[in-house]
Amino acid sequence: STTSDREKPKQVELIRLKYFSIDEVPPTIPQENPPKDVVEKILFIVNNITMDNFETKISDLRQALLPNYFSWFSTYLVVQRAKTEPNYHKLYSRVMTGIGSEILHDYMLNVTLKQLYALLAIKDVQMVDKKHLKNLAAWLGNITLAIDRPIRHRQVAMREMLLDSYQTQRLEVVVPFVCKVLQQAADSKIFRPPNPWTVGILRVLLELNEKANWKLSLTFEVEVLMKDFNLKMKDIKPTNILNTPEITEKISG
Amino acid sequence: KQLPLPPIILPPPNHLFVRDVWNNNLHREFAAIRKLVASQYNYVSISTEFVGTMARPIGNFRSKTDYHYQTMRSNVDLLNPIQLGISLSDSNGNKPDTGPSTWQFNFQFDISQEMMSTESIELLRKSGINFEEHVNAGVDVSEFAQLMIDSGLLLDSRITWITYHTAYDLGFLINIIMNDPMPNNKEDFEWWVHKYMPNVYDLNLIHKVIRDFTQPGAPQLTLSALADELGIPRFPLFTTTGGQSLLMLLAFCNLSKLSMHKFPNGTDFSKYKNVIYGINGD
Repeated sequence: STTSDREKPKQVELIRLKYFSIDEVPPTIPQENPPKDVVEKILFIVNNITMDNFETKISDLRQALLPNYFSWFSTYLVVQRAKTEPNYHKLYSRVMTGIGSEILHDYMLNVTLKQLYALLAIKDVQMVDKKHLKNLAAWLGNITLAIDRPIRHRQVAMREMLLDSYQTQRLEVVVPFVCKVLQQAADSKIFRPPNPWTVGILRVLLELNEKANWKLSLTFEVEVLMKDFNLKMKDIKPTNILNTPEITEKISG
Repeated sequence: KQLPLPPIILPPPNHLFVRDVWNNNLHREFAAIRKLVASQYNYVSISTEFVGTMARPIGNFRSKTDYHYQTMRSNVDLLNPIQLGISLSDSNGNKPDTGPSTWQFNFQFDISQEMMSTESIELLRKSGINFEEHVNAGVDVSEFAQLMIDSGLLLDSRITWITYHTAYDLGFLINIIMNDPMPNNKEDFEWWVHKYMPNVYDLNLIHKVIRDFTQPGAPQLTLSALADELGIPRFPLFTTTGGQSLLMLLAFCNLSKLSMHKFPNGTDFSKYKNVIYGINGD
């Protein structure tokens, strides 16, 4: 019949991610949505803040943004802004650090990881919104590595994700994610190479580049990343672990 | 005047246990460490075993502390650590009731490649170091560094590090994590320490300050003599590198409890937070 031919909204099938888990923020401060006038005030400030007027605007924001609104604000900044506006990541990250709260940072990380989880878990790689995934990955790097904060293993285990995605044919989504996150380490004296954690992930990427027989676009991602670190492809020795049985389980402990 | 000795403290048996870490259980043990760090065990102590001071820098130095830094720097750049111990507790000194909370990492270390005297080889052998095992089964320092960096112990203001006569322990750890030669001057070194470990206490310094109130000018105590004063029995375990970190943590937490985290004049211990004894503790 004609009705059954009509396209139904396609059900997006999700897989359960290994090596990617999200810590909930401890509920030390009750969270609520701000009243309408406060929402308007906060949005007005975020719309008008720039690197030049930063100091005055951030102190306005500090007054309006009560700790009870951190969850709401994080969702707004990540989902409405960072996800689609990569050119403003540096500014938004400075807004976050300018508020000067560890709890706000926890909420930002929490919302960012949840958004990333939802994209990385889409089973059909064709349907993954790669642009949003890259933007959010870069944002994750901006609110961690770029400001000298670690990405904790218990939340995102980078090497394990790469190795697992090789086994499960998910390299096409995981490699751009890892590269975009890591790229933000170029700004950090702590995380840029020779940081052993960063180098350790680069070594796995380089082994994959040699052996995974992947699309040229993924090689390009790795090349761009190496270039951002002012490194040549041959400057770092690839690992030799891809074909070691149970390697992912072993490394994850 | 002599203060009465405090009652003897007997920690539960599972607290007096050091897990030896070699290449084959490195990842598994780090999984356990990460779990503890995530569940409020946010105090960590560190001790290191290395061959001893081998190099003395020559030249002109800006100050005595500069000379001390340059000595530490040249030795850390020149030598490799043999073992590193860490012990975890919560801020009140409580340890988990099940499973280990102290680890001794045994690094890859080949005496034929290292600068060391036969004397110190013998001394280390006698203290229980098995150099053959270190060649064959030792932990790769770079893998250790990677696992440390995302463990949750570093770069986090919610973690407090406890050390005893800090300079070399922090020097080796920072050197491993930097994966680069040590900074030229002590100010840069302090920058790295402060970044990676925003809260560091030197138990030796804290105790020295306390003693200066009661016995000005008295010679410094060793860690085991300090532990005696606090009523911690001398278990043989405490002489190992892992055991040293455990003893350090027990002693710091006991001292904190006894003194309410304050010096005799009421000043909080935190006045001496992040002072690296012998380097910036003039």
